[in-house]
Amino acid sequence: MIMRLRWLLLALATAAGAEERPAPVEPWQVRGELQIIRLDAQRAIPIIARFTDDAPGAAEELRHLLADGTATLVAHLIGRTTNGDACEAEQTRGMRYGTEFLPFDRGLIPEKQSGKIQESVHFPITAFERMDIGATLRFEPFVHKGGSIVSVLMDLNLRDDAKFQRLESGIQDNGTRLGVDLPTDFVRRNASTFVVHAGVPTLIGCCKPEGQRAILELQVLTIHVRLLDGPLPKAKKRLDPPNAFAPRVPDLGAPAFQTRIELHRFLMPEADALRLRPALLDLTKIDSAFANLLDSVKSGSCELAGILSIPLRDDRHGEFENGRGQRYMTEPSPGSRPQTIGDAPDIQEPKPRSPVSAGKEAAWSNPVQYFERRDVGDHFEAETKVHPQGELLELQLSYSIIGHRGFMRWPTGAYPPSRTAHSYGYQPDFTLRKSNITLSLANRQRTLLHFQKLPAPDGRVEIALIRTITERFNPDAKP
Amino acid sequence: MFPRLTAAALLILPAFSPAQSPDDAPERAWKIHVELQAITLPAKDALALLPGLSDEKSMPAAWTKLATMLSEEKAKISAVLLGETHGEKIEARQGEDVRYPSEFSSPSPIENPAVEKSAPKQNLGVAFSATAFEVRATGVMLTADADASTDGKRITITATPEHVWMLGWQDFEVGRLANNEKIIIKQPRFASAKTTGTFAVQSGERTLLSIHRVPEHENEMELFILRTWTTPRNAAKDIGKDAGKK
Repeated sequence: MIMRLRWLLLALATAAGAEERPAPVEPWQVRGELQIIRLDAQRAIPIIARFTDDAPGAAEELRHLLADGTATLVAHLIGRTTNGDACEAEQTRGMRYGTEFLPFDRGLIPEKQSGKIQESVHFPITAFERMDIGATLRFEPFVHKGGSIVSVLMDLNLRDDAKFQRLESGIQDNGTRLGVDLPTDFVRRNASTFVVHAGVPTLIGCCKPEGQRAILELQVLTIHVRLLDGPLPKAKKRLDPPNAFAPRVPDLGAPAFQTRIELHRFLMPEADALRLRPALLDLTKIDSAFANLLDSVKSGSCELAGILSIPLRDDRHGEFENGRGQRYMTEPSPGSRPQTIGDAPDIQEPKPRSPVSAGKEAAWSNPVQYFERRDVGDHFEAETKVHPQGELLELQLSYSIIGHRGFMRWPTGAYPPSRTAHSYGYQPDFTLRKSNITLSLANRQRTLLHFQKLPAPDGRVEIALIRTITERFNPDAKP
Repeated sequence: MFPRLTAAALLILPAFSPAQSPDDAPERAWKIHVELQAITLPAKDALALLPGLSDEKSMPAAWTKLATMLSEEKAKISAVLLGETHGEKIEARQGEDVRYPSEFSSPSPIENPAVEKSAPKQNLGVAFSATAFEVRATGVMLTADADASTDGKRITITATPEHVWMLGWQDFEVGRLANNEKIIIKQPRFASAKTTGTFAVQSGERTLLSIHRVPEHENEMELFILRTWTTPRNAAKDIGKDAGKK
């Protein structure tokens, strides 16, 4: 009875909002192919620019570079789905790493070769976690009337092979520093809603992956659509949408505009940057200044710190990340002598160093037990609102650039007290630059976004230039 | 106003009608067959075949080329999984379960039982016992839900093909002997390629579901190719089968 009452209430609620329900979804079959391609920055920069006005030509150029081995295909992900439904594809490797550690202990253990009993120190890992390395794509397409354009809600996650970083957790009597290994993972994320032309390769993202000096990564998506004749059986289940924060794509309606956002960040010596500054502030000279900056990158007098070229559907939200996960200790325990396990001899007061006494003095434990992870790198959020004529837009931009300069250390104790060896505590040294702004931009007009001096010891100046290119859609166009 | 009332009436009706039991579900006239082929071939050849394999129209010609490569042993089949359904979920797998420790106890001494109780204890070493295990299914697997149109010509399928490889073991240092020799425990390394989607195909079509590199063999790629087709259901025989299941 309660179930039926619930049905009734649901029915009445649905009837009240019947006029707001979206139009029925046409049963287009959608195939999305995403290529993640890496190539030399000098070759990549003109191809990225070409994607803005001549996407098929740029894709063809990339295909040739892949065929002759100049570019590397990192992943090719295929997703198949029906109009309005989500799909996902992933190619990953699981990497395991320790997450919980015990303080040092000491005990006896037979040596591998001789079987002779030896004293030892242990810093057991008691729990592990898995991190997926590779590419995961989740997208939900919506094919607009006629099948020529497709709105796509996408969440792409890329993670490169992690490097293990050793955090000190103790010191042995013989001076050997002991530590636990924690992974630093390199991540990129692209979560946004955009529009593509069916069958046309579209550059949906590009970046300079963290840890790569002269390599750029391009994300190229091609969506193919087709209709099957006759009615189709209904699917039994649907995947959740790619992003919880966004409405399902069918609810969005036909798009009017889309904006490609291009962002370049350059690092150059202060004197050079100051010389260039007047041209960067002059809208009539900024394009030639931008060309000068690209030439300086070629000649090596300037570094390309970051690049972004992304399409974003008007009035929708996009998030982009490129960085790494930096782990660090959060609750250091005071250094202590290790506990004795079983019947290992008691810890002795420090004695003159000798091979015999080495084991008895064992180690000084500086336990590393609790960790946190912080995203280091670029985080960029954007939303656009194009004016009705398409020549002006408002760009809401929120970005942060977090740097990690290394670890600061300080002595936490002397071990043994009579000697000079110290144990140390370590804390990370992060730098942060953050901005929340709303810009009014003219279509295709390049603008100086920021001109900032980096903190010491780097001391260079970072110049960021932004440009937006707006495209108007005709949703009724034939494919 | 009228559309609202009509919508409300249509939705209210089921609330007062007797609940439909699974036995009342419409009988399906078609059996749906699925065949997943996992094929490995040199990356260069795979990328050259890719445009042909991706598009349904050019797939038959590309498949002929691939079949020739298979017969000439330029390409190899990693696995073929077959399934058949008339409404139920299909699960097929070829591989093995790998069991590995995931949690360990605090170290405890290993005592020598040969030594008399009165004698001073002599430890042989320290044990880090595994206290919890996990199991990972490796190999090629396919999970699918499919339904056919009334004329049997079209099939809507939700398919998840996956290949999980065990790549080896990774060493983790958990201690040192006085001579600095490392004490290690091992953890497994896995790789996986997987895709999930709901889509419709014409009966008999082959569909490329994934192309991915074979882990640790950078010059090789693997393709997942799914073929789906229908056959008429032999009512007497199949209803007999269902009765057996019930």
